[in-house]
Amino acid sequence: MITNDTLIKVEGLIKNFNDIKVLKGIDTEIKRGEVVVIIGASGSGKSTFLRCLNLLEEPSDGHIYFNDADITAPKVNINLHRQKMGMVFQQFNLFPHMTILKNMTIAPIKLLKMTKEDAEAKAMALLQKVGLADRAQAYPSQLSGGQKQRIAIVRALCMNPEVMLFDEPTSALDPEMVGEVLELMKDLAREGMTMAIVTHEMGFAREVADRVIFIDEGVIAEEGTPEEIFNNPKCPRLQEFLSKVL
Amino acid sequence: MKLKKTKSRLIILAVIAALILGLLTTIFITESKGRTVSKELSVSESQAIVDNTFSSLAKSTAIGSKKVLSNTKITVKSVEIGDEKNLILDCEYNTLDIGSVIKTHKADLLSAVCKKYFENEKNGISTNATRISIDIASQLNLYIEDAKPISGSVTLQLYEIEENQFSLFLEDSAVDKCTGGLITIVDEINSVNSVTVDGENVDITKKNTLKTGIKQCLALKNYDNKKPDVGGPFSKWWNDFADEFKRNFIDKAQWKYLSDGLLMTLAISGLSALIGTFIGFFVAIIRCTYQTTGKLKTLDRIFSLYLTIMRGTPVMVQLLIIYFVFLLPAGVDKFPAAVLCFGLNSGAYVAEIVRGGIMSVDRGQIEAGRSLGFNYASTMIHVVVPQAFKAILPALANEFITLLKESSVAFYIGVADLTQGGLKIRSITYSNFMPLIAVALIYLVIVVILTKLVGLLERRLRKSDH
Repeated sequence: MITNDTLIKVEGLIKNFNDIKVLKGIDTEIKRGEVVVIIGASGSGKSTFLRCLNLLEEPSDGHIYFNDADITAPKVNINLHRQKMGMVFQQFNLFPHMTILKNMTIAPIKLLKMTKEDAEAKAMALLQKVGLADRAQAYPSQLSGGQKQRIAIVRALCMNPEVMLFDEPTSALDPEMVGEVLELMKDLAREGMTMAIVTHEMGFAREVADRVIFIDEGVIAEEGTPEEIFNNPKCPRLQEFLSKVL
Repeated sequence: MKLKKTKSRLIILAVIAALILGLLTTIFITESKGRTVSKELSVSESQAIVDNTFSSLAKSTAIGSKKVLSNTKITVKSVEIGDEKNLILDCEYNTLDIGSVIKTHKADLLSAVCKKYFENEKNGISTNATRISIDIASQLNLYIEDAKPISGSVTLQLYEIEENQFSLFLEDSAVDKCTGGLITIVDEINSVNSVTVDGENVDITKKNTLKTGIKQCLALKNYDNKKPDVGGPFSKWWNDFADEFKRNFIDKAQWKYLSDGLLMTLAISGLSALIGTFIGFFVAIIRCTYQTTGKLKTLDRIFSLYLTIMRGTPVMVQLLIIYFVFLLPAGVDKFPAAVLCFGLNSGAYVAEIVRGGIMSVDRGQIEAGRSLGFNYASTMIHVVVPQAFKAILPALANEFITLLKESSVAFYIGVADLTQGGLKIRSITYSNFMPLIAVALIYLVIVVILTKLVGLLERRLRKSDH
């Protein structure tokens, strides 16, 4: 499925929080259809890196190109770009005052100017796919954690994104619910969705990733295929990290 | 569990029923004690009762009529037993013709008082009804010596209310006769709408204090125009209550002061709640934007100053300043001034409540909204504010209830609101209990209704947190 055109290109990305340097110069590319898994110890900057991709964190320096457009340039309407970049959070962040259906349709209706009927038909089809069609009229508080995260994923899919960003999507889940969410993400990967995933699920990373990036102290310490990273790590920090988590 | 609850409810019901039954029985026993005149009174005994009643009546009457009553002499000629457990007295009366004195000098009396009133008004002294009546009383004293004596005969009724305790019943016409035609004079003064002061015609219909003062100083208070209670303590209390009620609210449709005032209070607090909500949400969103993004700093500073001033000074002072310093010179009426003041004031409190609500919404909600592609404003409108609204609803409702009650200070600038209506009735009838309690009860009922409505709304909004 992997084609050669670049969807996201990161050049010299630096992010400082006041005096603390979190990202110290990151260069990488994500190709269309590629599944990139980002791993690293907590505090290494992997979440910040992901959040910089759709400018939830404003980069201090460097450039990010999305579809060849520099989204870090001043006067860029980032809202338009964000519509094409779905994001899934650790804490789900469903809108608690809306039904599941409303959660999924509000953005397509308001931003893509879809009709209510079209948006709801699309949302229902996606709900059907994840087996939650019967909960369309429920509120988020009536769902389990795993169900919420699956809804959060299909909510992002309603916008027809070109890339999906996952920020530790299973970290807030009870262990027995992790499986259903990973299963859905695997399906997405199989369908050819471009994905950038920050996770601690190493088994999952090994299975679905096209490429694994190991971030350490704000830089990419090592990257490669899952085999290279997990079976043959070169960098001592990665070896140390893997020995702790595997 | 359920059975037990039903059982305890039944017991409570039974106890309440027993209490009510006991109360009713007690009332029935005490009320059914019949009272008849225990002995035939002689003419001299009746005379003593009449004298006694009139001297106490003289002490308790309004200032203007005192002199007249102390000159009134009623002589009992004969006594007969009536058909309603009472004695009927055939009397002759002798009094000063105060009626003709007032009729003759009405113009002088009124214009003297008017002069005083306008002089006070010019000097900024608030003139209340009592002072006006004192002025008119002193004017009346100047002429009273000219009054011709009048005499005639009248029938009075004497009731025995308790063993050897009598009450004199004077019909209105009897009071009229033996106090020199005062009652008709009061009506005549009531109909006066304008007087001549220094050759100029002055309309006094809207000068409420003046009007009340003139009426009140001529009205006879406390004369016994009702039949005494012959039943037990309950019916006595009830009759007093009903009579007070009638005197305060029913007579001359005085309840209209309350209903008109209530409408005014609702209009003021409703409109200013609307303004307050608008200002509050606007200010809060601007301030939150500054707090989260650092933009709009100047606006934030201005609003922060506004909040400090509005929350740091009493609303009454704000009202006085807004009306007397700014709006009155600009020719703005009282009502819009009050609405503006309460709107600005409540806006400040609403702003802080809303800001608290917005800040309490999880940051992740904003991030989720933004990552879907909503801009900051749309995220606020669709995601943050609806959630904040639910969180702050109780506090907001509280603010509006406070506003409704606080609007009572509007009477300081002369708005005829509910409180003003109660004070108005009080200044006419000189009762405290009825008008003040009525005002309090009306506020209470409105507040309870509002609280219930907010509860309903809250329950509807809570639908999403099962």
